[in-house]
Amino acid sequence: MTRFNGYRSEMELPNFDPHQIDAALGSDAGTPPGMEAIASWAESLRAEASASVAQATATAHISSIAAVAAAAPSAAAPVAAAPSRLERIKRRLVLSGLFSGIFAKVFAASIAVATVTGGVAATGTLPDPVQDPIANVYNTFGFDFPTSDDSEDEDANDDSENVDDVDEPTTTVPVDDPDDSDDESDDEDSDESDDEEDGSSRGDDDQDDD
Amino acid sequence: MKAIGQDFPQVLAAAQEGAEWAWSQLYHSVANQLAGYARAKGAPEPEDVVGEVFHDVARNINSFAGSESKFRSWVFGIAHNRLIDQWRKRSRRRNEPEPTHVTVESAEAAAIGKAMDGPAFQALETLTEQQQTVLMLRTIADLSVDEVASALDMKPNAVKATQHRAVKQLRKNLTKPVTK
Repeated sequence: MTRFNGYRSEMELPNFDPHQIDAALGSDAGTPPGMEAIASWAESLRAEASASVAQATATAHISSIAAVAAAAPSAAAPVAAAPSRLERIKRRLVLSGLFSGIFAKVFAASIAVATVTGGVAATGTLPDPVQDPIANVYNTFGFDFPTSDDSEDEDANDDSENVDDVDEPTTTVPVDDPDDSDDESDDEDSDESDDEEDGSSRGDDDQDDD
Repeated sequence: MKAIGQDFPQVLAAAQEGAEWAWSQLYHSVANQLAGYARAKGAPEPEDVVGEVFHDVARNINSFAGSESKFRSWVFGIAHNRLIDQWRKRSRRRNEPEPTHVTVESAEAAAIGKAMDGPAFQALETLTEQQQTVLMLRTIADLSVDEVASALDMKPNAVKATQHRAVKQLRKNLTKPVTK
């Protein structure tokens, strides 16, 4: 008995050569020195687990398996066995990088297009079929972009202003002259007096007719 | 093990066409190891597992391309996953209330029970689940490190490290002196 209560410490056990392990576990290789216990154990395990499928069972299996395989859809291009975990991770990284690059480019391009079209549309200089949709989009987000209707109204306003300028006569308000107002009152007075004079004369005429 | 060898590409192509002779060769090349692995994993009906695994193989044979070594890894990978599913189902059933009627244990089940009680299995049970699986595939299924790695979806270095720790632990247990 050792000082470790009958057990040899794991630290005391040697590190095995992988080839030695392969040879000890394998069924057709010679037993390497120092691995006799493992080789013997592996042989015992194979014997304990040995199982042979009965011939009748095997025949039945093979018939049904062949029928299943014949009915199975044929793959257009056979692929290799399932990829390893490392390969799957690599593919995922490549795909994610590719898609992130594409999305970044599309996003940047759309921002650039929106900036350019927005800038030009803000001035209202685009053709009406282009200006109206862009203005509608921006107006829904609270911007005030001119549409073709707005520009027509502005044109109409401009025309009316021009017409007013042309047709409306330029009038000048006469400056009130105190002398003129006296003259007018004098004139009115004189007219009235004239009428009175006329009436008197008419009455005179009537009297004359009688 | 009845390895197919150089004829494997032709056998695979014929099996993909549904040729029964080709399926017979593929079946016999791995069936006994597959049954042994299923038995070691505690499957009550190892032959049924072999049949179910090969039905899965037949359904997907047209999507397979590769060497005989890859084919073996593929088949044992399917078997491993199927046995895990069966083990989970059995665990769930164990949690359910037991039926009142007495079940008669079949001779095969009794034989499996004896096999599971053998000294080699008892030594194996001292290891972790993953160590057990790696050593079973290395010994009973006679797969190489790379084939085990492919079957269990592990890296070869991880398989090597697992089997190294398992062998170290196993050797320690096997060389343990009997104390009175």
